[in-house]
Amino acid sequence: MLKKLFLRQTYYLASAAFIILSLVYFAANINQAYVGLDFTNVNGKWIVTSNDSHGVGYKLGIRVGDQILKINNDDPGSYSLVQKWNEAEGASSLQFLRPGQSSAKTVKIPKRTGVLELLSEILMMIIGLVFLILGFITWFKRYFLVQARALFWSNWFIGLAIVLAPASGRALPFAKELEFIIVSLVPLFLIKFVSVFPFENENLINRLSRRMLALTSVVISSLMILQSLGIVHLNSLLKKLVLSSLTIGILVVLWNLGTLIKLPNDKQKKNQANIVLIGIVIGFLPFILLTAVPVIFNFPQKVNAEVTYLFIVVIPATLYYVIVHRYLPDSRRLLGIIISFFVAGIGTSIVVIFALFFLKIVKTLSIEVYLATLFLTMVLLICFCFIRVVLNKFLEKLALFEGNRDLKTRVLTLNKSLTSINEEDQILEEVVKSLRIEGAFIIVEDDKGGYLKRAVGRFLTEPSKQIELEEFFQTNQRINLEAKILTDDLPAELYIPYITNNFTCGIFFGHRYSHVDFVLEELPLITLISSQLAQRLITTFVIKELSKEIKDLAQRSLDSQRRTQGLQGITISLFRSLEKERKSIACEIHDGPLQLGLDLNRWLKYLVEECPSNVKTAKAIAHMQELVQDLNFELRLICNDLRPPSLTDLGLPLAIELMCEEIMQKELLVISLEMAGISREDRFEEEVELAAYRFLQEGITNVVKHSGSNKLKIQIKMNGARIELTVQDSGRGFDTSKIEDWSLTGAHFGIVGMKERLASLGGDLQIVSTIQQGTMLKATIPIA
Amino acid sequence: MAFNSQEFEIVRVIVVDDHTLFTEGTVTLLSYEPRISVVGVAKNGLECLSLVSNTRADVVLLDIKLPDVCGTDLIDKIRTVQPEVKIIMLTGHSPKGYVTISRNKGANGFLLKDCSVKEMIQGILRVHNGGACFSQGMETSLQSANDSNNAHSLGNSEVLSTLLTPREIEVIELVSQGLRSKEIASAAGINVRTVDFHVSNILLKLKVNTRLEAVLKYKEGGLSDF
Repeated sequence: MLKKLFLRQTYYLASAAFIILSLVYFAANINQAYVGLDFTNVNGKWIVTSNDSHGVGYKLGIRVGDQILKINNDDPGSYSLVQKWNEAEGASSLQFLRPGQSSAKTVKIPKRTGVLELLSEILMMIIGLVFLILGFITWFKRYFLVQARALFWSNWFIGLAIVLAPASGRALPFAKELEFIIVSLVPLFLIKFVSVFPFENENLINRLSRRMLALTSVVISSLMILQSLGIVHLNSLLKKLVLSSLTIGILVVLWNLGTLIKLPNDKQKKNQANIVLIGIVIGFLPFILLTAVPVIFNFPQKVNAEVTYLFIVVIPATLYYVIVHRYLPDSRRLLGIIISFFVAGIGTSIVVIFALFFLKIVKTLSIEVYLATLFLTMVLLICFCFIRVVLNKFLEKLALFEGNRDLKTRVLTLNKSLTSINEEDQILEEVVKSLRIEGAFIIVEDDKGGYLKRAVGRFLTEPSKQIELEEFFQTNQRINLEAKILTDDLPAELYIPYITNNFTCGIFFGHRYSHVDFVLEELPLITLISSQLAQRLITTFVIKELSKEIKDLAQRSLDSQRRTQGLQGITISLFRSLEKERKSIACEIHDGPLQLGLDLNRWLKYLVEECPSNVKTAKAIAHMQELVQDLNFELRLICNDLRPPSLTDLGLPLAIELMCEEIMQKELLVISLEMAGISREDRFEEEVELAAYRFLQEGITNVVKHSGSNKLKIQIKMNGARIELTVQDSGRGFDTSKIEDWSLTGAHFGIVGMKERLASLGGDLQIVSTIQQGTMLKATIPIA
Repeated sequence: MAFNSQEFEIVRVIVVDDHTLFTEGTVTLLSYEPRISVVGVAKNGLECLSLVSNTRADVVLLDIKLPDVCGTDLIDKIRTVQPEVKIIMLTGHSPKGYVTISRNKGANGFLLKDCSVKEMIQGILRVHNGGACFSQGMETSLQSANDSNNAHSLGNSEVLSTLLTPREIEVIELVSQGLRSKEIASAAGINVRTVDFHVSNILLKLKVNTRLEAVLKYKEGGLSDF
């Protein structure tokens, strides 16, 4: 946190230092004219080696090759700045001798900087400050981005170098030293910037060159200090060092940007890099065209070189824009606009220059004149565009353009308002109102024969017209899919068909007798809004259909729920009447045929015992006895099966015990019967006893039939007001997920029926089964 | 009648049964026996109780299945009215489950409804003399139920082989092969009742209660060929 705060502080301090430095040196610049001469000592003579055309020296007539005889009426060698920098900055008078001329000339150097020169200094300061401010804003807005921080520092150094340049030229105290050190640091920070922009791509070349440049910077700084102290005189070496390090830095930067061009097209980074490149080109182009080209081709500049410097600020501005804005325009589109703009500008400028030439305003055609014209044309074009935009806005405000544009806006507002309206009638009303027409009529037909008609305005009260239009719609459907202006014999003015996958719509606008006429050009726009309208109507139509269906479904589910409840009731009564029926049949058999059989058997025994007979008769009687006994046995079995008398007579626990004993005698099966919380004499409601008995019977039968197990565990437990019955085997088991299917296919109806039966008593049936590990059926029956 | 009374003490019997035809048959058959006199017939529990309290009877022949009440539940009520009266239960069904409960409630005998009249007369007389009476085969079932607690191993194979008849051995063989009664019946050419009869005899003879135990005991005893 502290570190962060400290870091933030650094940026503020650096910016403040920048501004103070620039202001101080600017004030000093005003108070000292720029001489702009460099000389060197040749055999004790001070010869001018270079002179700046902006300097006072040049303006006073001193040229390269002249010999400086005196500075401030003294020997040049004794002037301190000559000793240090071979410069005559700050001198008040100069005496020089042109080679070949005999008399020396003395010139007075003005104390202050002239007005024209001052403007140029102000320009430099502005450029420097623009660099600083753009860097600062970028950092301030995106201080969390490493790119923003890198941009701040590179801008800071570049800006300072620009701001210090005039002061350095004037050899103000420490200005030259500072300038050299800072210029030597500029490439370092530039490389730092491109190594994180547009993404971190720290590579070997960047790292190596940075190290090398840092070293150079250190060397330059220390040499500078030595030079400043007067210990060494390495003036030209220092200049060469600084320039070469700057060159290396720029080369590395260009190489970095060059690699970005190779990125695939869809990368956002490539777009960023392209925009930066466009910015650089725009920034340097005026300089190259108006300053560099004339210098190279050796003709006088028509435009002040400083003006072209101004364009350089486009570069930091572009960088600022690219870093601060997340969503950038497509660089290709930008490039397209710029290229078209330039080509247009070049073309226009050619026309202009020939026009000027033929009008004799321009005397001769030359490149420098053309370049100046081009520059002027460009500036004029920019001004033209700017003024046009402003004027358009202004006129829009005054609403001078009615008519066509009005329909556009009306359609647009209608489009907006349509989304907020839900009722279809309202939608139509809105359309009619917005388009200022007399009426509209719309037909929506879906592929299942659903049909929807809506009319507003005049059509509402004229059904005969509606029928006419409907006929037209039916005949035109799917034949002609284009919107068209209708002929005079139809009541509407405009017909717009709209077809989607499942719907066919016809939209009619405008009443024949209305005063508004459609223009053909308006058709696409009206078609657009019509499709919107149709879509909205289709949506409401679909929603209505759906809600109808949902209502239907809800009703049906309610019905089926009722039916299910009814079925449950039927199930309960079916089980009841089934048991009742079984009971009565068992009674009938027991009281009728069985008693007769028993009596018959008894009489036959009496016959055998009391009435001796011959062998034949005895044999016949013995056979009859067998038959009667079989008969009675069968009858008893049937009775027992229909309704075990033991259950009615002895109660559930005993009946179950008996059943288990009987089954163990009949089947190869061991049943272990456990009872808990229940005594042998306990009696329950007949229905409960029956359900419990039948459940266990069914469970045991299932084990005998299906499980393949010969061990069975039955548990009967009282759990509060519920009887819990469990039948558990360790046999084959089955897939319990199939139970649901059984109820549908009618297979294994025993278990399914049992489930229903228990449910009808408010109980439930749990089935747990694992393949090869056995099955457990657990029934719970509440005892009322 | 007075002189006769020294030779015969006539046993007065009440028949409680709602099956008219069957009751008529009982009365007719008993009428052949001079020592027994049917003094009343009741068709349900209520009639039975009023008859018992109004008529002096020695023995009540009580059908278990009555229209209004279960015969076994009637025992206590008869006893409260006539503590001395003897009661013989009658059933047309399998007596299983009922025998024990009847005995526990104080019934003196238990007869199947299709027992011969001779058996019934003997039963009545025995009960009247303070004895007990059970239909044929029922004593053994009773005994096995009683003895089931006393674990006892049967002797060697010799004893077993003499214990079971060839028919029974045939049946137990089929049982030990896992066949069920119906399958055994069709395999041995007899009916299911006979198979069950044989099986219950085998269980009795081997003194076990379940088929599985019988099969195990049979195999253990070395009677099996496997």
